[in-house]
Amino acid sequence: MRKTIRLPRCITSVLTVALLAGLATHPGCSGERDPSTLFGPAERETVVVDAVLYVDHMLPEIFVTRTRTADAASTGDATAVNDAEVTVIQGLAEYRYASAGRRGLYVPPHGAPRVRPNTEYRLLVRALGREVRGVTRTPAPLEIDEIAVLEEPSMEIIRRLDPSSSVGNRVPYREGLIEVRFDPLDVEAYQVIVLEPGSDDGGSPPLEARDGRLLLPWFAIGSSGAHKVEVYALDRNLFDFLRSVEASGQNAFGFGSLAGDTFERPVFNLDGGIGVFGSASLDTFGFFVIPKN
Amino acid sequence: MKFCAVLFSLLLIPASAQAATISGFVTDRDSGEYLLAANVFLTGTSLGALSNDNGYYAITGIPEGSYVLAVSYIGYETYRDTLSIGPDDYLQRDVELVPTLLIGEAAVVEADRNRDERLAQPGFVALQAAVLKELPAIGETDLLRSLQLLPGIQASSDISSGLYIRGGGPDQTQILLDQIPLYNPSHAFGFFSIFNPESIKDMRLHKSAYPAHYGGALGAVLDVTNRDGNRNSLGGSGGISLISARTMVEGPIGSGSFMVSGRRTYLEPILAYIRSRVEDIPGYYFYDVNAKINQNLSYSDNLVLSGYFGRDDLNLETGENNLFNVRWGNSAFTGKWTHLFSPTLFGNFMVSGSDYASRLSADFDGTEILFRNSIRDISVKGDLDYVADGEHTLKGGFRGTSYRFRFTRSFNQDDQLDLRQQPYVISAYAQDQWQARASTSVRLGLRANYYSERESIDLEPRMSISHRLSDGLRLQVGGGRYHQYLQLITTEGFSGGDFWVPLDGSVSPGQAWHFVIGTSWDPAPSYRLSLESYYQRLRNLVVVDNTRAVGGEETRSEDVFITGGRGYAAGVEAFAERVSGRLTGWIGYTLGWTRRQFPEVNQGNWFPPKYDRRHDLVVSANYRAGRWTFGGNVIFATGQAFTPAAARYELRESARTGIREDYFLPTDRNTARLLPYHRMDLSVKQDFRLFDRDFQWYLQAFNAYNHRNEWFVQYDTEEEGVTTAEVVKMLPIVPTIGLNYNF
Repeated sequence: MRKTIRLPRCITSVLTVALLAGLATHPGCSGERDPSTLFGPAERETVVVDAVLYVDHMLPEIFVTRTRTADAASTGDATAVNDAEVTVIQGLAEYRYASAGRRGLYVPPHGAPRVRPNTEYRLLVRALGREVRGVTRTPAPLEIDEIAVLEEPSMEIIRRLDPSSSVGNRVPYREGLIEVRFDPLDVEAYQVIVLEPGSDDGGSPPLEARDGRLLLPWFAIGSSGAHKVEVYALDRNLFDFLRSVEASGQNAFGFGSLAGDTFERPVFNLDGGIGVFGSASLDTFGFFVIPKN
Repeated sequence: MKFCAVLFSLLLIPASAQAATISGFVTDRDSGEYLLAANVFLTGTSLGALSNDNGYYAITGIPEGSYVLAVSYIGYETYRDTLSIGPDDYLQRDVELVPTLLIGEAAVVEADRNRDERLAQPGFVALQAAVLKELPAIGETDLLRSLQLLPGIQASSDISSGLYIRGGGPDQTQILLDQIPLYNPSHAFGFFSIFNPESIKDMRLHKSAYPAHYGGALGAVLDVTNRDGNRNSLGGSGGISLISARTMVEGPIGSGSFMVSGRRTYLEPILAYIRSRVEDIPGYYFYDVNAKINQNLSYSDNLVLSGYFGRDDLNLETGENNLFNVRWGNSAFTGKWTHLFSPTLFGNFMVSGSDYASRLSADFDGTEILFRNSIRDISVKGDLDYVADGEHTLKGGFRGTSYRFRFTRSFNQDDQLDLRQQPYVISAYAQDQWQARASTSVRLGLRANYYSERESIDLEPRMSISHRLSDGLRLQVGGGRYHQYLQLITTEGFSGGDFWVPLDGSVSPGQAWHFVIGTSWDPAPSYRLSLESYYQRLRNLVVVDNTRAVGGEETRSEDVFITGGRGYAAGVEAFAERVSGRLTGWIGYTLGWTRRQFPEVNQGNWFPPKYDRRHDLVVSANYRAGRWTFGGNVIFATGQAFTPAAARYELRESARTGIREDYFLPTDRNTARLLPYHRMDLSVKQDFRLFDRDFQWYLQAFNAYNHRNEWFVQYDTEEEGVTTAEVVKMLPIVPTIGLNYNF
């Protein structure tokens, strides 16, 4: 005959109260936490390189800085590395950069040539006792052939804009869609930056355009007036960095990072440091947005 | 072909020639509902069986003699009848069980322990709707949220009904309603599941090592069965809460019964009122409808038609020109014919369809963004149960499913993606439930899947053993191999935009091996204790590659996913339950480890996924005092993993504009933890009668002591010179009042 085990009611009550009291007094149960615990082990003194070469433009200025702790306030020049050795190498030619002595800025030597298309460039930075190396292969030149304004939803061409002149390119606000057409290049993606007076809007995420056509979103155009559009063909390094830094901390629909599964280290393609050593070719055009009414 | 031949041959095998057989249906006397997994046994012998999904049982291999046939089921009085059985007799004995008002009477529990012995499978949980309804909830009783109170099952947040089972994500759990797969079982962004508590009859959950008649998921299977409807009288039940109203009507029709249930939220007027005072308040509603009709064409033939339809709709208008709309929903139907070929051969044939579609559209200043996803399947399924003799019960079947997927993404009138796939899966299985000894039962199974995108056959052996060490003490071992061909793309805490995509031939399907060993002990009729450890090894895992460039038409799985992932989940679950008496409930504790590794994620290093929990403790209790019932849950769990920031750095956003942007550099993935999660829910309910009808009012408090648990961490790099890290908290106390009724 099996016996039923019954705990006396007082023991049950005591156990319940003890459990709840234990939980409530557990150190982890306190309502607020020390904000510093939200930051991970500091990754300080990592060399940060910022160098993007543009085809048919002069060799660019390069910035060399260092990382700072995640919870440290930004103090401008405090992260600048002004005593680095910076060299860009193309074939047998080496271009030694000179420090401007501020903000970690390095300028190319006088008389340095323009950046060539379809050419491999190497970067060597010696800073903070480390060597940072990177390689980029520049894209072919990008040339916009046609800019069309398309009617929705038929996508028929309403009119064409002049790629070489912004004076006559007048478009009523949100009338049709502006499509940029060009010969597609052998690159992974393109980026579009819309510049308008008084705005510091950033660039688009990397956009694929295997057919050489890109539609401009109207939400990138905040107001009427003159606008300048820059279309970039991205090399592998820029593409990797932009796509991965864009995704970091976001999911496919752009909501915030939920406990970190998408907060990922970007793809830097640099040995010995972080940042970007990439290249792009670009073309630009302008147009004037006429107010709705 | 060989498999078909074996199945066909079963039809020709007569019942055991040298011994008697008893068979029949087990039903509820009041409603006529078939009772699943009722325990039918001959007292004083090891002979017995569980009723199948249609309430049918068969015991064969019975020697000549006099026996007491007993049928037990929790919540019902045990049926007993003395039988005199001759050699080669065939007895048809249909049993109607009488519901008992006092759930948990000792006699019922005693009899039910035998049922547990037969049901004993590693990683298996069976729950009835009545038990679920007793648990405190947020606003509404919810099946999936109730399951989150069991050991080994977690929620990702307070507003998620997603099931994270034994280290697997919601994408690794298959959810079936009346045997139809449902692809997004959530309403209100995961706040509620689509299961209307009024229509649920039975729920079975295989946390791992599930048997051969299931397939298609790397982790777990949740199999929910809706009520058939009352065959004897017209009646129903329902409830109203602050959020929604629900009702269910059932009754006899023709030679069977029907059941229709519906549920809808009525938040619109409240939201409209808030919207008139506060900006950016969305409009939202959901509804769902379940319907089922079944007809007995003859004693041996039963036809069931059932369906489900549900929709969620959210609209948000911000400013003059910004619109955001999300709409999603499932619809499903099934037609099922069951046929008794002979007293020992039971067949079950089904045609079903399931459709899930989501549409997310936005219009920002005239720029339209549209995501559309749909997955539709049509399945043909057949199962045969054959009671070969007193020792072997064979089960075999097939399933053929044709899928149709479509995912489109357009941005600014540009159709960037238009993915369409129409794969199919053909599966067949065979299983032997072998009573090797009086104290030992073995279940051996093999499932074979052919997936059209792979053009190969994946074999999945399955096994479990249950051995009674002594009276009330059992040892269980189980394991198996599993494949998954569909992949869920989810947004973690927000399930409205979830969608499934099939893996094509460019990516190997996910594969898992499960190993489970455990013991269970019933020290007394009212108490059940169990201890179970599990280990799952996973290969060919994929995760969405969020770094893909926008655009691309010739997209294959290898372009969408980061592939080649590995992982494991290991843990121990302890469970102590009191099943009868005024005070019922359980204490569950899980100690677990989960790890993942992808060559292209976290620099190739192993990491814990966010739902890795070292400790998870749940205490759930109900105390009944007359017409009053008091309930409570206490939950304590290790905080979720998250990835903290390790450093900041600056780069020019564009070298040509010179604008500088501040970025965060993360540590390795998920190296930190949110604070431990803890909360307490309380409820009080009172039964009363009004107008000669049963009513119950309830007051519930989710998170009764108003502890705002941490949800996720956000870093803000916008403020120049100042770094802020914000912890976004989960729900405060959520009190609810409501009324349930029967008519």
